[in-house]
Amino acid sequence: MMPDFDQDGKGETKQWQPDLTVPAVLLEGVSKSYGRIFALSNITMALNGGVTGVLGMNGAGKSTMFKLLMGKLKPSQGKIRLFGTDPWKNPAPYARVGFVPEHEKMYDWMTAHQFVSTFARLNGLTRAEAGVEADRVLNFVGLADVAHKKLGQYSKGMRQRAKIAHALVNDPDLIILDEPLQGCDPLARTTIMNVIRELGRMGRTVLVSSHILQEIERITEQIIILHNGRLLALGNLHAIREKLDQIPHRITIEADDAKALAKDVIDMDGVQGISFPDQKNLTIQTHNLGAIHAQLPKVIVDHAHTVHTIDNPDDDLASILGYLTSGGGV
Amino acid sequence: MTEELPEDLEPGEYGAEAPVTGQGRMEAAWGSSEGDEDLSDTQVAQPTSTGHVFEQVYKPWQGELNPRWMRNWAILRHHLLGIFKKGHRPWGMPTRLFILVVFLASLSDAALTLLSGLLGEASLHQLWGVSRDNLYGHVLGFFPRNVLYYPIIAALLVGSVISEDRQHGTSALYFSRPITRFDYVGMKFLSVALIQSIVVLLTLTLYYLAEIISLGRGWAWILDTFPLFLAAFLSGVLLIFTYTSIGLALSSVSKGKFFPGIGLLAIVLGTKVLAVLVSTLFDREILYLLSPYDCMAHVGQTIIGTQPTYDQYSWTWSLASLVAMNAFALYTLSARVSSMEVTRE
Amino acid sequence: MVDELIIQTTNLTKSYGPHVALDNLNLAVKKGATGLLGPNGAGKSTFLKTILGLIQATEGEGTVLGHDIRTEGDAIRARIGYMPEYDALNPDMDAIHQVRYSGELLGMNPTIALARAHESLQYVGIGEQRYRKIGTFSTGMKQATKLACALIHDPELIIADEPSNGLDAQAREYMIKTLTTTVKTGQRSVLMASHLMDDVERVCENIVLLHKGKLAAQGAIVDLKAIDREIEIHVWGGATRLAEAMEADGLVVRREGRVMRIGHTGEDTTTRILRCAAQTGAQIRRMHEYEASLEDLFLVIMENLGYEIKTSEDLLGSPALARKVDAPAHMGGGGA
Repeated sequence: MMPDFDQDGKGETKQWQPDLTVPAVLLEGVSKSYGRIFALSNITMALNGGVTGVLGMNGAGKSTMFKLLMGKLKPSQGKIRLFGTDPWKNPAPYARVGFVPEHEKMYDWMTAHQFVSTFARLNGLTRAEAGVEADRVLNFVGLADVAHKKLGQYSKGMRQRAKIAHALVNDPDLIILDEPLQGCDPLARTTIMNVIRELGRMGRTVLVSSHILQEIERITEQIIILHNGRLLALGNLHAIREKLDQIPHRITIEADDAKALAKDVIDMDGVQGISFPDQKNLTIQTHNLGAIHAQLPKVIVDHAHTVHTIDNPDDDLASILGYLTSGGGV
Repeated sequence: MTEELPEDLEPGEYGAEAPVTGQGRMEAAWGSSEGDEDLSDTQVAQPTSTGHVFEQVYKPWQGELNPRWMRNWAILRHHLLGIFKKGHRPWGMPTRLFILVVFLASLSDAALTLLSGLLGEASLHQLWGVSRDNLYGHVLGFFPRNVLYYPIIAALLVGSVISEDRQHGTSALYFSRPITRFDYVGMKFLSVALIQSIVVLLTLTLYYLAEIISLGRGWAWILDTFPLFLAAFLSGVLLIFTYTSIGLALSSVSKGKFFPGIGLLAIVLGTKVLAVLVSTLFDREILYLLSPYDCMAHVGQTIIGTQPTYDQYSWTWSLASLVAMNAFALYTLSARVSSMEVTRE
Repeated sequence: MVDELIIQTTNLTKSYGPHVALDNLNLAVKKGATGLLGPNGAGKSTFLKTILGLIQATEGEGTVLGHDIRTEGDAIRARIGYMPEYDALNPDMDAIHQVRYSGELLGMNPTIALARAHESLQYVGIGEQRYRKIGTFSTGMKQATKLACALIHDPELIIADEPSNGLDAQAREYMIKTLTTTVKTGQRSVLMASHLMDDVERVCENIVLLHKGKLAAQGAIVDLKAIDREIEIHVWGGATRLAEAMEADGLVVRREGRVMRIGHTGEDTTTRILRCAAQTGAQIRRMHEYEASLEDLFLVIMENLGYEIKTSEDLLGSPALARKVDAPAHMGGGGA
């Protein structure tokens, strides 16, 4: 095939059809070691579509995993496939991948528009198209009015947005974002979170890491927890919490008459203990959260109790992460 | 450390402000009150503060901050003491080793003077002892001192002394405190200059003292040679000042560590080589005016009074050129430092 | 005492040529913790530099801790602790020495500075690691060391620029705790610039919101939040059925996935919700009165100022996307 030297749009392109039989990301028994230290050990997973939050402390192996996916590192063991293709020494899958790295190094002498359109052209668009595309993504991340300023003059949050813009310019099917929200103001943060969610809903595969658990909670319930290079958990965060059944769940209820409610609650199946932190509150301990919640509304309504709040204090990311990484976990 | 402890502890917090004297018991025993209290009034003493968990306690500090000279002294000490011990500015090991080596090498003439004094050989002493040429040579001699010793030390020192603050953002440490730009750059200048003067001026003084001690020189000799020594000392000051101002100017325009060092060496040695080439090929000495080293050597030869090797023009031209070079370097330095950002750039 | 103003500015203006970075700011910051908010480029950094006396205001005046910002920059900087946003530590120095030096730069004598360096490093949670080189520290430890540098002379006002940015959950928790302790038990003031609204809300009582160099809002967070009575529930299973049932019952439901917000119609709203849940068999995992967060407040103010949160339609509605380039077949492309 002749390269398209003129760059006026005559190049052979074809309509892309998603192939649903091949997962976007497939890791099979992947390990990566640096000398004696295992940065990742024996990770197996397949992701296709949807947003997945990657959690872990600093040094848990998140960056190593992203580097392996981006073909910057070769796995010591196991196989990695992006859309069924091995990414190591093979740029082919990257036409469909957008990557937002964590570090801040950029071409400071370029304007954001040049930066983004350069990457668009590297993806095979013509000069004219690349310009249009760059305008589009820059407008989207809210940098339209400063698109022709040098990146060197950008603030941290603006640089972050320019990085996201460059990753979205080829309309990727797999988007990997390493700490995308760092340094962004709430406007940009909400915008980017909305988009990540939306991209997931459209069937794109999105991997996003963040230190801020509430952000991940607002984006997705599908999570991966890495700790010391091991895959500790993968899946829906509520489902993960159910699996951790050696740790009893707590349900706290604030009611007008907590003692009276307790009398009715105590007969329910699965209740293991009830305690009263104070006059108005009631804490139920159970191993079977689903069973309790299935009965609870009926019990309350039937006995005409007035309930103000219901809460599961253990069923959030922070406590799941705490249980799993404190060593007591799975 | 312990003397401000009492300030840190607020006695009230511990409920221990009442000294244990036994007074309470005595009163109970002797019945100091009437004894007809209304019992319904009796209160059970509620301990107000029973215990403290020192998990994370904010400890106030009420000391007075010292004035400006103390802050400047801190900057100076930070850079100077870093040469000798840990805990202050971490100069690289190569830099510290090289300073030691050059310090010892610079003392070679003092050592030889002592040796000749011990041997008592007059011819050896004429070769090594204090004289116009030897004093000039100690400070301004081209080889090896101004090729291998002093410019390289200056280059190693200035390399990162200002650029590191740009690179690591430590400028914020200085400028978010009550330190003016002038104090900041002045103290950095002074500390770099002082380290160089250990190598140049201290060894010169030791050399002069070695002569007095080893040969038992009297007042007459000292009176004779002291102006020479002073002139050499002055040339040494000029040398250090010039290397430092050019070096720091280079350090202030860069972010890296190597550019200022290499740049200084290139300016000092490059212009010299160029001028020598032109002078030998075309017999034109005027290019020496571009070389900081040659200008200093010319001025030094004049004030010490050795045979001048630059004879095509007056020494005042060299002096004027030196002043211009230093002025330009200091201007660059001050302009760059005053525009330095508080945080990392 | 409580209402004592620590920062006050009148018509403070700073312009760089035609670009106005600060526009007629009239600020009054009370003692205690204050969050300095604003979108990227709102002029927060310029404001901080101006009140530190590092750059001269073009017009207007201001005082910090009673000192004039135009003439008494030195006095201000001796009484505040500034924690910069970016790295400001020499990676080759041990933490203890770096912090001690930062105290000496304020004019503390070396012995006192060392004692205080131990104390403040301990306080920010750096224990035995303080004898290690800063270059080997994690981001969280570096942030803590920067805070220790700022706290060494027990300043009356701590200005922290993005203190919790880039920290992992644990380190962030500790940083927030440290700042809170400093305000609560240490009785010091904190001015904290941050994009993380949750953190600001946990540390600060007051906020100052800047926008394009102008003051957009200032005051106590509690006062600024409009109490919007809604009940938030998290549903597990049968969410759609529950939503329909509640709408049939006459409740106003806004739904985002498993999270729903229901308009508060009276004291019996929760009972009505639970009744619907009992009918449909949906599990209500959480139910509480929804209180607007600082982030909501920020977004509302920004929306009033004419900003909008973009949705994915802005990104994906472009016709140019129909054309999609793939890698050549010989390299493994072609839809793989």
